[in-house]
Amino acid sequence: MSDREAVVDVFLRYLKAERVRYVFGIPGGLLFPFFEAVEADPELELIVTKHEEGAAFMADGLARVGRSLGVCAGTGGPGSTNLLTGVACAFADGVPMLVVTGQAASHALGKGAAQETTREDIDIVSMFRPVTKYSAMVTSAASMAHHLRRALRQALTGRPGPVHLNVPVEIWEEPLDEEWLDPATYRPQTRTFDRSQVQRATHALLGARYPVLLAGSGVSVAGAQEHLRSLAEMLPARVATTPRAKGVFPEDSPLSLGVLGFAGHEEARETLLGDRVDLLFTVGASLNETTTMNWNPRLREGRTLIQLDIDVDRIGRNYPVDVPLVGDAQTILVELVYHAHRAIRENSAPASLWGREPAVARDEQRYADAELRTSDRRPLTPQRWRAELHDVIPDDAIVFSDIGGHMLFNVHHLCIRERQQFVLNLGFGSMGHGTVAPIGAALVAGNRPVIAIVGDACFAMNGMELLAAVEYRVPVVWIVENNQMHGITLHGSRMLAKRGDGLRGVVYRQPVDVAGMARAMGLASWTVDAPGGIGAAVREALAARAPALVEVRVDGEVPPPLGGRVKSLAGFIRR
Amino acid sequence: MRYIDDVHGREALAEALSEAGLALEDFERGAWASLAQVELFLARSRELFSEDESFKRAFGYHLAETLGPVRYLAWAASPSVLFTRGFQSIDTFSDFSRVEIVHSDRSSASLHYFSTQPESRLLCLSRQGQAAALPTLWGLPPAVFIERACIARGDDRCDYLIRWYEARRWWPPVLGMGLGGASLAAAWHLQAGDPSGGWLLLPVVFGLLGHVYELRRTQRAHVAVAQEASDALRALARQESDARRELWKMHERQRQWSRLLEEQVAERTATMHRVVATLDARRREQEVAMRGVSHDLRNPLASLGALSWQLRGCVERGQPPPIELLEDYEEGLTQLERLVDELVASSRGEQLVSLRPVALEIEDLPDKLRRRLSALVYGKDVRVSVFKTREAPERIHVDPLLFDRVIDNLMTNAAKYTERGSILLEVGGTPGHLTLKLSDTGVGIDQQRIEQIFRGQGAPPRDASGKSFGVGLSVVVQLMAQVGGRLELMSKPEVGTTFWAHFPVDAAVPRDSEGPSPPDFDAVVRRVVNIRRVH
Repeated sequence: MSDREAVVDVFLRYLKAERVRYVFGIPGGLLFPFFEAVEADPELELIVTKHEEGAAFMADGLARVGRSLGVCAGTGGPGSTNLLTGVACAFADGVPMLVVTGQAASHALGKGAAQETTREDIDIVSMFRPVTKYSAMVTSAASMAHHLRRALRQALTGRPGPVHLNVPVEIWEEPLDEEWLDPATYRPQTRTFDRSQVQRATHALLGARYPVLLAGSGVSVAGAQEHLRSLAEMLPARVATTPRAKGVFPEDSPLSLGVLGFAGHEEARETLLGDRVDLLFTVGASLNETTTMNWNPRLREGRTLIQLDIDVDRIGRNYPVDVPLVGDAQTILVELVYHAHRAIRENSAPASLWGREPAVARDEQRYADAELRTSDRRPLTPQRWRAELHDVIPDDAIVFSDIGGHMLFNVHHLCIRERQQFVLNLGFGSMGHGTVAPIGAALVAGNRPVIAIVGDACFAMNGMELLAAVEYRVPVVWIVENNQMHGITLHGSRMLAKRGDGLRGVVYRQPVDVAGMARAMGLASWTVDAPGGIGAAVREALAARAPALVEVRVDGEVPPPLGGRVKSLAGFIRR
Repeated sequence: MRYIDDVHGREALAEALSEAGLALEDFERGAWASLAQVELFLARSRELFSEDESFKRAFGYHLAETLGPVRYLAWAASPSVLFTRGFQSIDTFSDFSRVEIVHSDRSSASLHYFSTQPESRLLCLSRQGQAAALPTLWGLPPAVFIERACIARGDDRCDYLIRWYEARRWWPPVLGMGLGGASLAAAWHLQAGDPSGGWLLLPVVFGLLGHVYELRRTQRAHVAVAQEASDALRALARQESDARRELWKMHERQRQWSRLLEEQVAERTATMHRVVATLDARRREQEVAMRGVSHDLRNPLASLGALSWQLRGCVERGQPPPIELLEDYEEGLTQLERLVDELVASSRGEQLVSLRPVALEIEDLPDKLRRRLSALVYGKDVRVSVFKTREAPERIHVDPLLFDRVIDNLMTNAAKYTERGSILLEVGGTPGHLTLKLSDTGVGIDQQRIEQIFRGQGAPPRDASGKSFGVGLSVVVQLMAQVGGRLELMSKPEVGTTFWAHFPVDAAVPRDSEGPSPPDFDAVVRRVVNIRRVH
């Protein structure tokens, strides 16, 4: 071996230039040189997960919270395919991620090598292509840097997303004479915008009497929460969020309408579907089914629609747009704020009349089934412990939710305040994400507490990754709502069923002792099954600054707030 | 007394003085004594001498030495004048005696001494001894001193005759002439009464030889005196030269000392000027700092006041106060406490603002500033927008109190002068700097007033509302200078003002002391402030 750098050295150098500090994955033979180099590098830490899907979820969680590139890796064959679900989650929500998969040696390709995944057999590159922005096999050492720079450019510019590189095993250790290029030279900032459209949007916003902002997850991706708030308060405009973007606007603000759509709030629905709103400004919202209540036409009727999205393909996709704003949400919101500020300077005051309207209800009446939030009955209602949890969640907490019935309760019954962050993988809706992604998030969250509110089914599906949290002492507090079933499926099926009592098969035949499993894995755990117990348990769990789990046993018969979702499902079925 | 001290010892002198009721100290310091004491002393002293002549000579002991070079001057004077004047001056140290000059010419003098007091013979002898010791004309042998009457012997006066020519001076020529005559007689006898004519000259020749002998003796005496005078004059010249040299050295030393003294005085004066300048500068700094701190005390007070209103509102509505409000309240109190500490320190003349940079995370800064700014405009029709851009650094190293004071001053000014509209605060950055951009829709400041504020011409007059922002902005400039930052400003009357405060990401290295001279505020302003023109 010469003194020249090997391919893997150049590869890791580029990763470190992108502030990558953690690599998630499960080492295997076809990616051994890569894992070996990562483990040997003092500036990187290899987090070995229990399943490759967990690696993708953790990289996803890290990227969402750390606003940086997540990196996960799997060896060839199933080690690669196991990553797919996690990568799809990242793709659906626009999370920057680099996926590295192993491949058989180049000379053996097409000959039926062990765990070979090539075009001749199982084409892993093609499998990743629909769920990534870029998927390619590196066919030579000389082309590695080119592929890597292109992948990083794709992952981190425009609408972020995952990218995939498949590398034959022998390439990693080949020497490479490669000129070093700084990220700024190949990864430009995409913060350009159409100034005239921004001026038009400003004019429309200032002239609107009842403007409403609908914030989507693009706000979170762009880190534009403060800028959204500045614009809303300057006009003023009332703000609703999509379920996925819950919390990007503080829900305790007098301007907050809450969540629109899936498990959303009545105030948001009534306002946005009502007649008074004369301008709707969507920011980073794809206006998909869960948000638009099955693409309700009233959302568009009789009002000006301004749509801001970094992905031009999403603009005008579901509703015709009056003012399209293509670009980075933060950049354009800053421009809008400055334009509005200048207009106010020049005595062109906003026409908004929201200030004269009664404030949005902030009390319990905001919630559906409000009486269950204060109910003392046992078994515990999902609403009651969440109401109690409100006072316990720290002001700077990062709250993850998984997918399922608990998610609906989370979206509807949690109030995410200023400085708190809510993370929900609803784009792809993969169970297990909210259970595992917090581990990656907690690695870069600093002193911010990370709490995962998940269901028992999600825990059963991906709970083994908590072992990784214990091994690496990652301080996450899991609150597992245990109703001994796939609650959303049971209650949804009950609403849809024309006969019987829904799909009873989703109810566990053998009760799951979540807290006991957690203890067996080495986590401190608590069990809450009565009103008034959640506060102390969560406080103690947070104080431990170590992996901890609180099992909350609830009444499984309480249906989650999924009425709208069921109606849309019913619509699908009828078609 | 000197003679007794030298010859008989100090104890004998002390004993003699003691007999007269005097002490050695009186002798040493030349104290006055009464006549009776003098008589007693003389009587006791006489016992130390065997005869009157030696007693008399003792009074001439060291007299010449005592007179010093004066005696050589005296030689140039007439001896009669010298003696008569000497005796006449006796009344300067005796109030009971006087001298009368009876006769005085070049070679002799006759004196009468009168006294109202009875005097002893010893006193008279002492007087004669001193007179005899006086130098005589051109160093000739001592004059003949003839006593013709004495008060001690019952006469009414002492009568002295003093002559300066000795009779024996005639003896050699006379003896020569006698010897010549004898020779002539012998020759006469030998030549049977018919000596030649030449023999007749023998008495004359021998007389001349005697005269020559006397002349040679006198010449030797004169040569000896001349040699003595020459030696004395040489010694005097040497002494005078030594004295001159010593005087010159003393003069040199005095000049050097004067120069050193002048240098020290100059140095002390310069030091004093520096001290005065330092004190003056410190006083000015203290004054400026105290004025700034005093001014800045209003900022947390304003925040606390607004927070109190908000808390009151919460209480009146029956709602628990948000934790952020309480945190802001506590932070305001902490800031207030530090400012008061600083004020106390400045009143003691201690270092006013000692920079204690810490890593300040920017992540949470917008939330904090939003709450603070919202509190400042509470109750006004002012919209507040605070946000961070991607260009903002993750953290900066800065003294948190100083940072808060800058921000608070800018925000307080913005809140104070904006009655309606919007205040916008952007937490952004440029390479190496955190940039806070604060824009308001307030009253604005005209160009001239900006110049006044920043060119150290004092705060502008208060406006109708009694507000003045000169002090706060001056403080901001100085604080920004301390952290190595910059301040930019653009303003238009009745439209609004925008500030850009650039903080270096890394803590500023303290500037080297520029000496005790007072800080040049204008130079600081030039370095720190950039006033953007309104287009």
